[in-house]
Amino acid sequence: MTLDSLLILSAAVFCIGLYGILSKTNIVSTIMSIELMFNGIIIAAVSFSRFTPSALLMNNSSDVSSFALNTALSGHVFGVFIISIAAAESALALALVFVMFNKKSSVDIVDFNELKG
Amino acid sequence: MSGNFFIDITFWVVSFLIILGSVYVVTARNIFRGAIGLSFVFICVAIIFFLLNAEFLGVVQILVYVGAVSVLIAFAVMFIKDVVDGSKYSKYRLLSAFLCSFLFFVLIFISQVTEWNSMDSIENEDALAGLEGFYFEESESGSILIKKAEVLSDGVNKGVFINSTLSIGSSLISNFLIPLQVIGFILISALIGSLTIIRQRRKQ
Repeated sequence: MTLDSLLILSAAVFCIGLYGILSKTNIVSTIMSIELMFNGIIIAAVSFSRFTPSALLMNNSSDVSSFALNTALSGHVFGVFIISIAAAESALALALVFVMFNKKSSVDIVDFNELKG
Repeated sequence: MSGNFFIDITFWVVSFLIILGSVYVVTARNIFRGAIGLSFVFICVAIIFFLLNAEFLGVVQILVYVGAVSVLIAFAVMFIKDVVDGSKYSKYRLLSAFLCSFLFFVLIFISQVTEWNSMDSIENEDALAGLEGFYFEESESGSILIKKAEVLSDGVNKGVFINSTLSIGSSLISNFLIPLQVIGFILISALIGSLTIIRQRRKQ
């Protein structure tokens, strides 16, 4: 378990999610692929936090403040933020699916191309 | 070394399962099976977090993703008329497959070429002591300094934080206070926004 293998895993999950977004027409499949992409990003953030030190801790001469020590866990905090954004986004997406279904009783994004020029 | 060996085995098995599950999510014709596969991927990612010593994030992942987001997606599946054959491909399938594999190789190339800092390059003893939990805080003219309290024990894995939940909590209310408030605002606005979208207009 090295940083390289974790980054490859994260890139794989991200790209599979991107492929799902681009290649599916069903809105629920698209939402599921967005969640996959979020997961890939969180894996990258946490593995950076685990394997690479913050620049404030590399300084050999000076004393270490608790501010510098807390920056070592920035990846975890970013993960918490991404998870809360993803929760808000999926709640909003469910509302949008509801409205789409009410309008045309279909959740296929091909049916919703009124803005196409 | 045996502990490391088992961690490596678990990591490879779980990452294989994650990639397999992700491919299943984006290729399954039955959309409900895709949602089940998605919650399986979430659980496997939580296992990866536990392996990375991010216990708090793993628990939050299980609570929020497996507990809430999967249930929301299962609700969304109810709006689909033909669940069994509902997930169709668009006409840009081959183009997007080519684009995503190209992006994947670019990302791998960048991550291999870049030289990342390593945890082994930390030489500041106070920093090492602080990361391993052996420290006490000393207030000195307003700023809080970390002093080494004990001799470091051998064999401690660098980058493993003792009591990471405490550190995440203190980060959230010191370094990341403004982003935390912004996240709260975003959650409130998403809540109000989704209620406003769903609310049926009264027919006049």
